[in-house]
Amino acid sequence: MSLGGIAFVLPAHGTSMTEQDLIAACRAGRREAFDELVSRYYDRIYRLAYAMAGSQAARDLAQETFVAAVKAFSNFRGDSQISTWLISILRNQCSLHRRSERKWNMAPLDGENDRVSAPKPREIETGIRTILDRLKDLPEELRMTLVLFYIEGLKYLEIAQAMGCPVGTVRSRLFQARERLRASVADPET
Amino acid sequence: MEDCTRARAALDALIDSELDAAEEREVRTHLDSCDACARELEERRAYYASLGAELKSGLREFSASPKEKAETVARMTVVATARPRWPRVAAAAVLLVGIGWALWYGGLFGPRGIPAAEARPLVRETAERVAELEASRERYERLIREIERMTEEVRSQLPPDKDLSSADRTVALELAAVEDRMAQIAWHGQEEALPSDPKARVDKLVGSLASSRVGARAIARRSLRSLGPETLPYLESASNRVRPADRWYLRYLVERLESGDGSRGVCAEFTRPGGDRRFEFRQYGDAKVELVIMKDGRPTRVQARNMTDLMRRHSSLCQEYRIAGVDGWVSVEGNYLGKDFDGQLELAFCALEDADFAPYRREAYVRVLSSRVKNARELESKVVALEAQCRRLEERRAAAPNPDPQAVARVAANLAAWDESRLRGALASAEAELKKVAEGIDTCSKLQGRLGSLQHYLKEVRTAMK
Repeated sequence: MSLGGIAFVLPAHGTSMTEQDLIAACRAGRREAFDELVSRYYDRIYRLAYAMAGSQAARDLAQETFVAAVKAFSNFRGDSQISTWLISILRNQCSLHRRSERKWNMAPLDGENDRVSAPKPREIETGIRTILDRLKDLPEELRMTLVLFYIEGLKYLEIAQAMGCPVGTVRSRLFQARERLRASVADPET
Repeated sequence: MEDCTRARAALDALIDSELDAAEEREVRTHLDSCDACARELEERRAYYASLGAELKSGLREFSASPKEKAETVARMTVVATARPRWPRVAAAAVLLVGIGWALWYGGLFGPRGIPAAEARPLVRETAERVAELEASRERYERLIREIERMTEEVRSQLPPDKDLSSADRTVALELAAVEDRMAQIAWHGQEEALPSDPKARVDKLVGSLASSRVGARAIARRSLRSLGPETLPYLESASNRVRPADRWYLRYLVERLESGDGSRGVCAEFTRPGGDRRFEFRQYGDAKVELVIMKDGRPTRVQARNMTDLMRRHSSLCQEYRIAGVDGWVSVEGNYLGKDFDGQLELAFCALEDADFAPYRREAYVRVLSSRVKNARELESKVVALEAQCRRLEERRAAAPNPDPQAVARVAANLAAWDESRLRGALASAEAELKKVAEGIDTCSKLQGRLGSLQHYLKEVRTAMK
């Protein structure tokens, strides 16, 4: 238990912290607790960020998620698992990342092409190009639902909590994502 | 047939082991007697299995490097210790960064301080960055408080008891956009757990719209936007129970849900029925524009990809009907309409955000909003010029505050014994965090400017436009 951020008794070496203890230690600002948090959840968040935004952005997004978590620990009520909470922060970061990439343009005064073209898709490693390419074409919400289900192995209810939507929406998004991927294999041009 | 429809709707959940025992029994009973559905089940099961295997093999083994993880921990610790958590009477700059942290209460447990001139160059530079970071964080938090205050003030000026006029809707819309942005950058982490029952979910979120906390309202609004079509009937009935300022928002959400994927609903519509001046203008959620005008005595339809496309290809038409603006914020014959076009409203207002140059800004603002321009091109060029003007002044205003020399000295004293690699790590972390805070300050400064615009709009322009 944290004592105003001044002292904290860590569990004996070899035992792992419960989620509650970990959150309390993180709230107290202990570096050892941050080490533990990163050790437990970083790869998971990184994989999700990679699937959502590619390798270049994944690093920034994953890091920003954990930094944002530090700022939000005081508001975390513990009514969901830490992993679910971190995923909801990552979603927010992805949304901010998307926003910062968008370019605005006023109406051109000389009639030239107006919109700045979309940034080129980032390079991805060979060998996994096909599935990631196809994933990239899915809308973000469908993509995240699919990855949370298959890669993180979350149940519908956990996905619903992470994404802040009803379970029915999770079902429908999963179905849509699967169908769209199936269609993209049948017709790669769509 | 109806049984097949119901069974097929549950097949995915069956494959994913998400049905409860009763539901599973019902579906399996149907499958036992329906070859078509049984075949559909096996086909989906096989496809989903191969999809899952492909996804897992593509992403499962991917992990971040130990260096990235260490860098993340370093940044987290910078952020955690830069937040003022102790009473200010007890501590001033207490932040240290680097590998192997130590926390000092300046003046209580640590040395008094080393004047900057006496410290090693790297110690001095790191101490300055760290002290600058804390000063920036304090400024950031002050800005957030100020934005909260201004948001409350603007919202309190919306009439609580009667339907909003179109001018009031403009204010409510822009306020919602500002709150939404603040919810993303400053108020995140305050989300509450929501019930899974659609009606209960809507009731809880609609209840939060009336919260006294501006952050809770903004977050509720964001959550309402992501509700699915199963909540449609509850949203419709809720729209009759809320304040007028929120009613239009719920109706907008209902409209989005009714139009399917939400991207095709009408966002802005101007109509003048009948006669030789018949006119219909609509912009949709996917930015497409449709115009119906009378030409040679017959209604003629004009379509465009977006506002830019419309004004480029049909500039004389736009001139004739005084059509101007950008996607999501359009004007026809001096009347303005806009919707939360997923952030595009920002463009219309951000050109007028400089609070330091009030007289010029006020005049330009009134001029743009009352449409005293000859045509769409003139409107756009004025907004571009204003944007450039405000950007120049914004750069001056956004300069980082000079760190307090006493704070620098105290931090320098604590860093004095550190070796070079620790100091370099600390410096890099502080600089990375400083960049993030500077971006937050930049965003908040713009939002503050937008709220300033709204306050001015409420005082002077709204009355004239009524």
